[in-house]
Amino acid sequence: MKKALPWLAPLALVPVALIGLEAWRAQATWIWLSGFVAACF
Amino acid sequence: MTMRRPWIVIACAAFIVTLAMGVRQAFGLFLPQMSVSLGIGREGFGLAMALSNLVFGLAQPFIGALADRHGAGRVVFFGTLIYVAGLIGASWIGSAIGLHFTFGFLTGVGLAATTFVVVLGAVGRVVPPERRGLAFGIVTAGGSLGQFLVVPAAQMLLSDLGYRLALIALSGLVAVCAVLAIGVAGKPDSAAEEGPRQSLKDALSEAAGHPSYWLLNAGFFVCGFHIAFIATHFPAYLDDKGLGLGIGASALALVGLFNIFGSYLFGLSGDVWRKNYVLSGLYAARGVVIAVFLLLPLTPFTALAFAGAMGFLWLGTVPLTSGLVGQMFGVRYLSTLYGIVFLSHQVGSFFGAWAAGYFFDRSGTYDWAWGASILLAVFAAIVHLPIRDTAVARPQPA
Repeated sequence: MKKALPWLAPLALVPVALIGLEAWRAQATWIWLSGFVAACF
Repeated sequence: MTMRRPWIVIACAAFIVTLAMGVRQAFGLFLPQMSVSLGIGREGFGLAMALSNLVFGLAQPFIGALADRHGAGRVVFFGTLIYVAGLIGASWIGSAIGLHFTFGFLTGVGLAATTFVVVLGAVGRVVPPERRGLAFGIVTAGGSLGQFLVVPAAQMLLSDLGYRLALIALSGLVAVCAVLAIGVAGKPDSAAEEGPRQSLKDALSEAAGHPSYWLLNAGFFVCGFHIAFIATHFPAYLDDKGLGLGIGASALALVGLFNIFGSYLFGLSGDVWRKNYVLSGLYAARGVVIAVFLLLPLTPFTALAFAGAMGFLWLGTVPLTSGLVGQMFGVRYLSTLYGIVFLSHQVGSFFGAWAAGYFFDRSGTYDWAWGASILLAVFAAIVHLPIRDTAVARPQPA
């Protein structure tokens, strides 16, 4: 179990991921439309 | 250097790249408002963005060398000041030249001083080699988290405040890095490294004469190509195929989301398996994912599944590649040597973004770019296999 902990640690970020996804859902089309893609590399 | 608790250094490093990379990813959002307000058109704004990326890459080896000489803390601190000056400057300038200097040059220098290459050098020095994959993975995941969270937040700021105030608000976010710099401070001391002391010139000569270092450079070029091509052109590709804007935007969100987990888990993998083999597998997986995506009928599901899979394979290359540089050459000049590899990544990014558009304009299709991406993935998977990941042997002083 102790060995598996580091591999499972990212699960702690799931709540943050859900908040982020909701923020993206609300803003995504605007982000796409306003040229975000030109800047993300 | 003064030994700090590794977790403090890792946490501060992760927060620094979260803020610095997060704000950077939001630059493109300013295009519509700023290009209209300044009357410079999209080309003028695009040039500022291109300059920022160019300066980011070209300055990186030199700023990495400064970090190796004076410590990451000082470099992050002064880099933050330059980054903030760039953002605040961009909020009140009124000309294209002003925008190119502030949003282009200053932010490029600031980014080079506050992101992976500089802070990973500090982390590498306080973490034992067998845990560096985990540590680098955490820091890289921090940068990925910032990219995922700051972009929609910045869009809200833009919508509510307008671009001038939004830029000032983001500069306040970046300014926090100046405080976090304390956590990664400490002057590197070559005596802390095992083996004989080495000058920067010797370190550069050693790396230049090591074939595996060049293979790493070649591999990271491919990473830059893939990322820039997909991030820049994928939503447009989906739109061309009739899937609509919403799917393209959601695809980018999924890339950002899965990137967080991939960055961490691939870093961790580097502590368990040989990093060059994991890198080889990662690039091969990219090639397979692209090929399968192209072979399957294009639907919203396959588009989003592709985005999630590529997101998972997105920045996992960072902890593995930087970890390999540290493993082979030690951490004394990690920021300098990884800075050079990062420059190769930025050159790949340039070609991924530009060449795909160039050939699309001439052929009306992305087929060439997709084909090149698969071939480059195979190339990168192959070149990582013969890399000698053992520490280079150095003659002991008599």
